[in-house]
Amino acid sequence: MKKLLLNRANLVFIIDLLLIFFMPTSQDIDAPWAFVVVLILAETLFLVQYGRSGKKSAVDVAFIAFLFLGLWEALKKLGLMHPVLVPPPENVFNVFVTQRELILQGIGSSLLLLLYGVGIALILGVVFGLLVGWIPRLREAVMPIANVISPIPPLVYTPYVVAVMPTFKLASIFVIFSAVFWPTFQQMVGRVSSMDQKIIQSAKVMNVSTPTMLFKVILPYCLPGIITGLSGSMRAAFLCLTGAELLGASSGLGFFVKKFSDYADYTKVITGIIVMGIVVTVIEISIKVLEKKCIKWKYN
Amino acid sequence: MSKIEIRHLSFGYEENKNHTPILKDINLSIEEGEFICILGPSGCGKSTLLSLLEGLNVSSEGGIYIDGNEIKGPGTDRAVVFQHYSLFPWLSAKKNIIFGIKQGNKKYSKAQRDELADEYLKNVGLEEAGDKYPAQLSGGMQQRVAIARALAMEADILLMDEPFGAIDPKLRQELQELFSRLSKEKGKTVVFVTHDIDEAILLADRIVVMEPGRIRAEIPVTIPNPRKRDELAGTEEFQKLHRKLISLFYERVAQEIGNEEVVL
Ligand SMILES: Nc1ncnc2c1ncn2[C@@H]1O[C@H](COP(=O)(O)OP(=O)(O)OP(=O)(O)O)[C@@H](O)[C@H]1O
Ligand SMILES: [Mg+2]
Repeated sequence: MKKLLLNRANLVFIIDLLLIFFMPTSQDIDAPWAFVVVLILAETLFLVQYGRSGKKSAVDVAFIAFLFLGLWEALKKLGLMHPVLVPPPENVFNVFVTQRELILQGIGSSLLLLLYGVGIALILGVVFGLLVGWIPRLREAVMPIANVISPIPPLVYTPYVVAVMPTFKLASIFVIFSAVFWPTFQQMVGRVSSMDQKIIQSAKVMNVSTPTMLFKVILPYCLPGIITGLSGSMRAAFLCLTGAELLGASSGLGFFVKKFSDYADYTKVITGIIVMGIVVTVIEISIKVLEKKCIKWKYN
Repeated sequence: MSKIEIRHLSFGYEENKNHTPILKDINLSIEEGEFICILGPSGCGKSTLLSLLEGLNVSSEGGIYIDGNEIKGPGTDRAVVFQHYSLFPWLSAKKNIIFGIKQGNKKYSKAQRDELADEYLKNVGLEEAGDKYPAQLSGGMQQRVAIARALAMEADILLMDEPFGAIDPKLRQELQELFSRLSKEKGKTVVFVTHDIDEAILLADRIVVMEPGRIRAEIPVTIPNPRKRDELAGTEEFQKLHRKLISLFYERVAQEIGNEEVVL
């Protein structure tokens, strides 16, 4: 208990609160409540994590985060930061409240596009990967072509796709699709053709049909790899999506950032960037949870 | 007609076609319900012969006939246990067995499959371990599940390639006795590869001794079943068989001692 409360992280947390409420300033700063709520949420998260794991690293992470926020607050209040480019933290977190509808809508619209693009790419990538990996003739025919197309970074042709596609939604889905499909497909082909021959043999001698071999033997064997690869794919997909949104969307997180940076409203721009960080983190944590759930057999 | 007929079977792997074939003109008849041990030094082609029986390899010369039909590939009339346990790691022990039941000849309802799987688990003494994943089981337990899975396919013929080779001696003896009893009970025709002379004597109705590429001798074992390893070791009959098998090996070695290859 003592260890939980008496540490650097909590010390800085208290100092942060003192700075917020008692440090005088000549700067024009919004009400501090949103910022305080964020600090308290972060503190709660820290206490839960540290209480459960007892890892020193939890203290370090929280310490650095609180230190950063405290420095930001103090330097801003002292008037040492650029008045337009670096807004006070109170204002940045306040945008969560004032713009909540636009933010939620943005998250929703971005996630939906992501879901479509990644979903289709995963399904097709895995199924084609299975087939091409399993049938040698198909592999020899398809792989040389795939090896040419796949290394082209989708960000490069994003502007073109946005211009060519009838709607922006289709364009982003296509771009996300290509960002996820090729790596998924290629990794899948690799996994299938380098699969443990003992497993293949023991399936073969049980006289399995080709669909059973592909979907009941090879697919579950490769599943851990697919899910592990998912977090990289999601990152790439998110990158492409926000990239596309910067170009021509009318909603979404990339759009949010783009819109306000056009007005030089950097407070909201920073809020948008923080939201993206949170969304990506939540996605990655969900994948980790999925990984633990789906592949129990690997973790025992 | 015999259950399994191997006629004028020759085989060489494609990778080294221009070299001498691995198997040369093998002939062997195996009766229904018979337990055959194939005994021979490392590299003499035992696994290759078994892979042809499994249907994983197909020979260009001669053929193998089961109930008069030539083998063209894997089939549900044969079940296989490898030395590597080869269970599916993503399925629990019981689900592995259910997979075997589904691949078998007969169609069962879900409830029946469940019941059968429990029964096979019990057969191999693992009724408690049904929900465990292979990685949670010891090698011996995994091999018992693999045996249960092979039995669950309800094939007439069991093909075993040194199934107990990687298991420690004490457990091996247990598994040998268990497997001997189960295969007799269920009337299986068994082809069992080993390079352990004692194991062959313990299990076989007939021992087929191989030397590289061909069959050297076929030796019937008339010791009555069930055989217990501890009781067996002292008997006259066992000693005689053992000496005979040893001499079959050493003759071979003596012939080759001038060459670079020394086997056993
Ligand atoms: N897939 C393969 N491709 C080419 N050659 C092979 C292959 N498998 C086995 N061989 C060769 O065939 C010969 C017989 O091998 P096989 O595995 O049948 O022997 P074995 O009697 O089972 O030996 P062991 O007791 O060591 O298992 C060996 O010379 C081996 O190198
Ligand atoms: Mg072998």
